[in-house]
Amino acid sequence: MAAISLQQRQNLRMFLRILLQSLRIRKSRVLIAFCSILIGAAVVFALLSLYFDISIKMSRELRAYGANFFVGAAETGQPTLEADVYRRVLEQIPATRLVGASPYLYGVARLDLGNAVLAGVDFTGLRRLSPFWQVEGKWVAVDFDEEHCMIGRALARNMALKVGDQLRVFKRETGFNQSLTVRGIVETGQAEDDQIFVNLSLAQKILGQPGRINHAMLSILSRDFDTDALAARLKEQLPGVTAAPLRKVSYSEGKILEKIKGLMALVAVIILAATTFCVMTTLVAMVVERTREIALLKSLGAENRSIVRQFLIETGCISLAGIAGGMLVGFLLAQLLGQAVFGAAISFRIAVVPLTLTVSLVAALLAAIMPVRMALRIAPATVLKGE
Amino acid sequence: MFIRMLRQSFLRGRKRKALAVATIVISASLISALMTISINVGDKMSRELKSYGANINLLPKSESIPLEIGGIDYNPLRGQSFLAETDLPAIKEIFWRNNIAGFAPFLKTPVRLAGQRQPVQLIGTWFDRHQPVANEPDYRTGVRQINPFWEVVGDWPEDRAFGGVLLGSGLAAAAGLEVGDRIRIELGEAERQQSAELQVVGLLKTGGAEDQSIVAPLATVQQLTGLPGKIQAVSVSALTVPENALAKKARRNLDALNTEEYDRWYCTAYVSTIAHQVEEAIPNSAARPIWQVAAGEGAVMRKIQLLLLVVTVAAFIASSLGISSLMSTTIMERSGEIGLMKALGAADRAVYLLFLSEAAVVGIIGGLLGCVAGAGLAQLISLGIFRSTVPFAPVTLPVILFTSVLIALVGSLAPSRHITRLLPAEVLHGRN
Amino acid sequence: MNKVLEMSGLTRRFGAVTAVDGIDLDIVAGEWVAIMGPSGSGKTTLMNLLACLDAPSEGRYVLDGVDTSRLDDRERTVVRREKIGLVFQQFHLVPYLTAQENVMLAQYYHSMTDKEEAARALAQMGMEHRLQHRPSQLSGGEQQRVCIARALINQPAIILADEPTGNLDEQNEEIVLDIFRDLHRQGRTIIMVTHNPEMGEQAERVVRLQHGRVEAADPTPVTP
Repeated sequence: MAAISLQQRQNLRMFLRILLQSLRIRKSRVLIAFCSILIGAAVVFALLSLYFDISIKMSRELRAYGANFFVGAAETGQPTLEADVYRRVLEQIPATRLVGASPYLYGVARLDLGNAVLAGVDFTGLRRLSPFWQVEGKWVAVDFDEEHCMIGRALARNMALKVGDQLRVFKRETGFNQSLTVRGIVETGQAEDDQIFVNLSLAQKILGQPGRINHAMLSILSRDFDTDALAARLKEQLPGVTAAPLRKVSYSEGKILEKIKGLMALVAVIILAATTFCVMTTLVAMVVERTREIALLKSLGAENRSIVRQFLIETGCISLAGIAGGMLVGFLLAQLLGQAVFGAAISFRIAVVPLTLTVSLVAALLAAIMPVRMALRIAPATVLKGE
Repeated sequence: MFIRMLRQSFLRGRKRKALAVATIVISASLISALMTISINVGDKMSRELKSYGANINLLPKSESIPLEIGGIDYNPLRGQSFLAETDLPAIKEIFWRNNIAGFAPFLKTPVRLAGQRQPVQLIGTWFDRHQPVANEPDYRTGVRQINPFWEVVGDWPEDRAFGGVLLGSGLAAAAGLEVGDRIRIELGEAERQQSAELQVVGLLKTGGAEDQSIVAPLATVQQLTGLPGKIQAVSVSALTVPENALAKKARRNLDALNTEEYDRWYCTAYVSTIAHQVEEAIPNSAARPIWQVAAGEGAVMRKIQLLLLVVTVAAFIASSLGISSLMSTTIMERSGEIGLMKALGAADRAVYLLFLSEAAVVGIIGGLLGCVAGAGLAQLISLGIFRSTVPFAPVTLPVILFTSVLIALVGSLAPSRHITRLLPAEVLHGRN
Repeated sequence: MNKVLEMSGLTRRFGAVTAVDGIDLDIVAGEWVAIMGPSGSGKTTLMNLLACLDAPSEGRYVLDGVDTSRLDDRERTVVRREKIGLVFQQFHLVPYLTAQENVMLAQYYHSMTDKEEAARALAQMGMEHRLQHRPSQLSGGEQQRVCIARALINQPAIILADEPTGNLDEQNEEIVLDIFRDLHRQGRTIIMVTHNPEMGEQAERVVRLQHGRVEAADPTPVTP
């Protein structure tokens, strides 16, 4: 018993010595294999990280289309809501999901040269809600700014107004009569082009509707988030309120995200396959180079098993080192890609680590199968034929 | 002699060369497929992004300011101006006609449902109308093409039939109406009031103002309002490229462009260009880009193109390194040969020349085959994701060929130290 | 008479070519036999068969009491590592292992490594100062001595040497020949393939091959 264990110990030590020496002395070859596996693992890691983040990132990008959720009063016509309801709606939505939101209060006001629709909004929210607004001049920046307004492109043209001009707003019913400065001119191609925008508090004063709004528009990150359920919950919890996702935006968003994910998945699979192939050919070339050595080992009485073991463990060691390095490089690569494309970091996901490890190891082993089979087919008699 | 060596080297090391060629083929096909997709992704995704609806709004040229809130016009007295329905086919005759994915005209009028005080909008439009245009006698267009997000329970109305309408789902819920019900509407001012009976063939859900409206075939609304052949607005859905500095400059002031800039702007499918051309084609009209769709599309498209570009570059680098490592290994493997050549008096340069020429030949063969395989692969990807084929961009061929050869050469140069350091005596005496 | 090796009608064909054609040969323990012949006479093929690196197409080959002609690859591998010590013209040392480790490699595949034994084996070859050198740091003669030490380490029944001095200069050739003479004195069985007549003279018996057949062989000597 003791003799066997001594034998095993001694032979294990020899095995490790062979392994170590083979890795240590054949530096340039090992380095090449290490590098090719490192690159493979890095690409896998980066692509997986990117793939898992792509929905979130693109979902944020798709918010460029503006509001995708509507909250208004349940009755038809021109009813209004308490401004407080708006605050309670916002409380229902996780802060990380809410890209932007603004309440709206509409009314008709008289300007110097005629009537126009006046809208009271929350400019800070609106700016995030509607990034597509083409603004000449500046946005109204301060929430309680009651001196400035923004006007639609068509309205500005009709009333011959430029950025910086003064504009008088009247409302007979409330007796409001005050000059506002045009801070920016808005172009959207839709109804906004004919409207004048002021802060909600000012609009409530002008229109004589303190504490009230018509409706609110929200921009919500809808990935993995059931906006229909949110709508149902809001309708249930806040009587007199109707809420619905805007189909124009939310329907398309799902479709587009699916396409992008599909595209990424296909691209990732193809790159993976190609990388595996590259690693494989490198390993094959390395075995071919060692034909004589393998033949020698066989002539010394090495069994196929021990040759397979040596090669697999050698490949395994190089692969593990390569994969570890590859993950590091891959993480940096993912950050680089993330910064280049989305201007944001790609989050580190622990799930990507085992996934990369599995994929890369399987790929490396798959890649090693062919060279190992080649190694086994090498006839030991090759040694005797002097080259 | 050189040629003979090259040829012999290929014939003798056939397996080894096949391996190198195969690797380059795989990598080159991958890169060319990605390139083809990257080049065409703009076009493809632009088509997908059409699901966001029309991106150009065409209105009559008018001085008056509409006072419309929530789909209800508070200024019904203003002088209405209209466009002529018969002018519409001209939209498909502009320079960028092939980029017009679809269009739909609109005519709106406030009506009251019988027994209700609150007015609602009656919207007339084309649903899926057969409208022959130049070169396309079978052209069909309407809201079903430009607004794929419209969800209808029941049937879509027939464009040619009178009286079949879609009822907004919000309105239907409030009034307790269902598919198949008949509704009576009243329109016009007190003294000239008239009424009509309509059939609800479907319920419409859009999440927008249409949920509170009635949508009817254009001809029906024209007949009810006594405005035959008249329309108020046209929504145009066009395939566009993202705006750039030139487009912004043109938007600020078209006259500021010089001739060359103007030509370049006119011949690029910016949303403002197409809007401009549509405006030229339809008399007395003003076309405005709907920035929600146009700008959103630009932002998203840029991201996707950048994403693919970056991924292509990453794949490119990965496979170049893979091929380089393969080429290095195959050269190192041939130490004996190198030693022999040097022993016979070959200068390092001559050895390089042979190996580099071999690499170049491998690169060219691999690159050519890779391009063919890549074109096929690109079709597969495109069919899988976009359900349509992609045209092969001729620019890929030289790029792939050039890079394949370059990669093979770089990979062969990498072990150059190995070649120079190798002492022929060592190799020939088995001391490696 | 203790026959360590018996061959009868041993034949190896490669397609239409018959490389070894019905060889009958017996070798007794302690004998030093040289197999000689011009290029293409079937020396290498016979060597491969003797070393159990290849299987005969026909005929019988009994090595140290084991009939190897019916064995499969795996079983031949076992015979090879138990009974045969190989010495190559090209030395064939594993480039990344030291001299001592190269000797231990044979122990490793045979049974179990023993550092001291490997060192002793190298010392017998006059290599005690070169234990930790890698093949690239050794001269050709030194490499060949490592190769011989490796061949001997498992006490094989026969030592097969393929042109052992073919890659050596005169001085080293003499050293290696001395080693073989020593081994012969110790009673080892040596079979050497060569086309060097001087080497052939050293052997007790010369077997001449021509076209795959034994052309002329000295008579089997009576055991001393």
